[in-house]
Amino acid sequence: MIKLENVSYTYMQGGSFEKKALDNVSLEIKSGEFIGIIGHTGSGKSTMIQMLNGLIKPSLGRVIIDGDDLSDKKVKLRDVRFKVGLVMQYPEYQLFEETVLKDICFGPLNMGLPQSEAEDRAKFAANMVGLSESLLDKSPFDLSGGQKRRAAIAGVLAMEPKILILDEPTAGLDPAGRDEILTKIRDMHKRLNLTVLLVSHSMEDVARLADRILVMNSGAVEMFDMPSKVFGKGRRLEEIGLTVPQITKVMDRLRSAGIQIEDGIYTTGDAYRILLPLLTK
Amino acid sequence: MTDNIISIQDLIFEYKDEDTGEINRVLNGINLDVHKGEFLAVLGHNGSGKSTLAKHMNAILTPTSGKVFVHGINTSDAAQLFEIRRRVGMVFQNPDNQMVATIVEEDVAFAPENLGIDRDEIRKRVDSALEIVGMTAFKRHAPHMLSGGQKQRVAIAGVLAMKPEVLVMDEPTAMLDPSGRAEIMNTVKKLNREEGMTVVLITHYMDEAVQADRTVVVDNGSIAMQGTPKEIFPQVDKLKELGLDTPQSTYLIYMLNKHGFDFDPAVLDDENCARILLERLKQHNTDLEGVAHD
Amino acid sequence: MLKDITLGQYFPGSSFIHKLDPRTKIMIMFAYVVIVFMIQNFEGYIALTAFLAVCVTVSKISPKYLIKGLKPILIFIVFTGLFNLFLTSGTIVWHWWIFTITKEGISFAAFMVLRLVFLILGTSLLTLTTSPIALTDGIEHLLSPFKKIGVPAHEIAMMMTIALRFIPTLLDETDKIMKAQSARGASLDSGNILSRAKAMVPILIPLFISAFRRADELATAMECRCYRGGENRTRLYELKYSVTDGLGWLYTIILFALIISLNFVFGKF
Repeated sequence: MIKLENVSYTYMQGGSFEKKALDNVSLEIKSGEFIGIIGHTGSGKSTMIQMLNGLIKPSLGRVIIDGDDLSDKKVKLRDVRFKVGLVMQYPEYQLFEETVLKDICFGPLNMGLPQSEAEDRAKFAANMVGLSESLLDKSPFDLSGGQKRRAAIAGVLAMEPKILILDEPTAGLDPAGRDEILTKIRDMHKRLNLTVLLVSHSMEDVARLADRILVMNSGAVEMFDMPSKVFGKGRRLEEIGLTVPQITKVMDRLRSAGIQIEDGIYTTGDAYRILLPLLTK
Repeated sequence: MTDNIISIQDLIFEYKDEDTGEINRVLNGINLDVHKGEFLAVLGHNGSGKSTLAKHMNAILTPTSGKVFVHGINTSDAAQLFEIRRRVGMVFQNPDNQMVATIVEEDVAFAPENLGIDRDEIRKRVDSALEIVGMTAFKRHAPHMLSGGQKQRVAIAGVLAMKPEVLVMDEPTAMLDPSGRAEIMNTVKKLNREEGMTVVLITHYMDEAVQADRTVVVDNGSIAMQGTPKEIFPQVDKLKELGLDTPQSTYLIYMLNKHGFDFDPAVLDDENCARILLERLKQHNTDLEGVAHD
Repeated sequence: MLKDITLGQYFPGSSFIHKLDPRTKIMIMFAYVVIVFMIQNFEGYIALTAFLAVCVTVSKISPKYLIKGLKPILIFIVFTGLFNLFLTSGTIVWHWWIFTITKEGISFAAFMVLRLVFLILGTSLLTLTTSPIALTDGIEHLLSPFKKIGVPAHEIAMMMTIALRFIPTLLDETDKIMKAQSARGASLDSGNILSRAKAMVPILIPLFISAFRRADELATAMECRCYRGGENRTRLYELKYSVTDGLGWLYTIILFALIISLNFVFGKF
């Protein structure tokens, strides 16, 4: 349902600061998948996700969402934006309305929905991200950091997109706030059958949630595979400035010391299940 | 005089909510000493009071009751304000919001200029501060052209130029990417180990706190736990209760011990974790053939 | 994108003009403005062109870059030109419907356009060859004699520095907020003026809130670095006049004398 065909993007084309942000990227993401996207700053991942809802247009190549080529003049970009919900980094900085409810309604009202339906959607979305009803009449600026973040995510969710893209939704949050948001995102993915693209710097978070992991490096796709396959290539990940979860490092050390265990272990639970029989036998 | 650079005694801090008129108690009887030359990590979830605690260390805030001493000076003594701030350098979370000047070296010079230090000495301090944080090559650059980690290193240099006795950092890595975070942690460790700088690092990242000499966990305005990282992190249940994480290695050993093993729980990194597992595996002299596919 | 704005950008270099003391440059700038307004004939503009051409050559700034600085105010220049072209009375040379062009109109329009263009080019040369920080330093020093009558010279300079420091940051932020609201379906570039103004609200409010937050954090950070206003403050760089500044003034005075004599010889156009 998401398809990139030979997509390239060059910043300030022709200028002296010309920089290639994406270089001939082709990939496909199926409906209902949960994709984790990793890559260091400047790897092109931000540019790529902004392309998926038409905020950035490719210099070359095609972006196809649900069969619609976004460079086609007949395709209305605004409609694409309702279909592909994008939650940018630090999304709480986009809150502006008097109340949380009104702010979440902004997207649905832009879609041309009547007030009552917009509010219904807003309430549903607020519930989905775990904001209690009593917070909806408050000013968004009186919420705590984590609540603001979730209100902003609800503002995108209320448009009922089919695809939800989140750019580092847990940046700056503490472990409890981070776990809460990630749990909600997993719920949304399952309950609403959303296609989710999660950009994160945290290998642990991505490892926990994603069906497939997209690794970007210097504007190109470095790997696009299941977590166990990706984390099995720890050395390559480190070469391009990324790391693997700490537990993967532990298991890699054991393996290189001669213990026969499979590579690409990335959760503590799996490591525990593999080690237990080895230690008790 | 002891070797305490900062001494916090029965610190209580309250403020009045302007809308509701309620009195909020943010810090509730904190006792804490910062020793000369140590690397102290203050952990806590958002809203635990850890940032408020940090702001008491250089008199940005003063206690409602209790006392805070910096090098023996009471922070409530308004006449000594600049003396306190010069001794306790503070770096904040957002690298953009603590740079004043449009050129790196001018920004680093800001504090010594304020202190009225003469030009040759400012020059020396700016050069050496930039050298320590490894930003000499960028001294004529504009701050907004730098990466997050680089900006934060300039912010550290800006504070070092005051020749402080202690560096207090309030979540300096919260807005950085992994490579930026590594840059800052390396800089901090270098300052502590090589320059003997006393460091107080406020954070909610446990992988940063494990690198400290001593860790204090703040919860609900009080000190909930304190000790070396090896003492703190094996207490997995308690940390979870306080809204904090444990390193995966520590957690793995914790789970194995729960199953009846007797591994040393004070394991914080992958190297040690792999080492003690390997010892045990070899000890059991297990036949490892064919186990990989069970 | 917003970042494309180039007006007033500093172009680092080490030319004669770059090395002039910022105070000298600001004062010469004022003298230059006065001179531009004194010019009464096209011969004067020829002299001024020569003066500016020498400055630009010496400064090693590409003339193309300098002229690019005119782009943002092109509409303003064109409007000034047209306004004077059609609304000056005199000998009619062309007439159609309600439009009348006079001989005087043509000269006057050309004259006004030239005046505007030269003012912009001159000021651009100042900002292109002087770092913002040097500029604010210069202003602070030039204003300091007026401290006694209550002019807050240091504070003005500090505000300018902070503004300059935060312009790129806030432009970046505006860009992000615009994208975030577009992602929620805000349409920023369609509809009439009223609906466009309304569409700015979701951008301006977050921008203001963020600016206040930044100001608050910056104030705390400045306090932590012992800021206490301009008193007893020393500087990493002290301003010092040199021979270069004398030469700069000499050059300006020559132009001044030239323009006056040209006015004398050729009179008003």
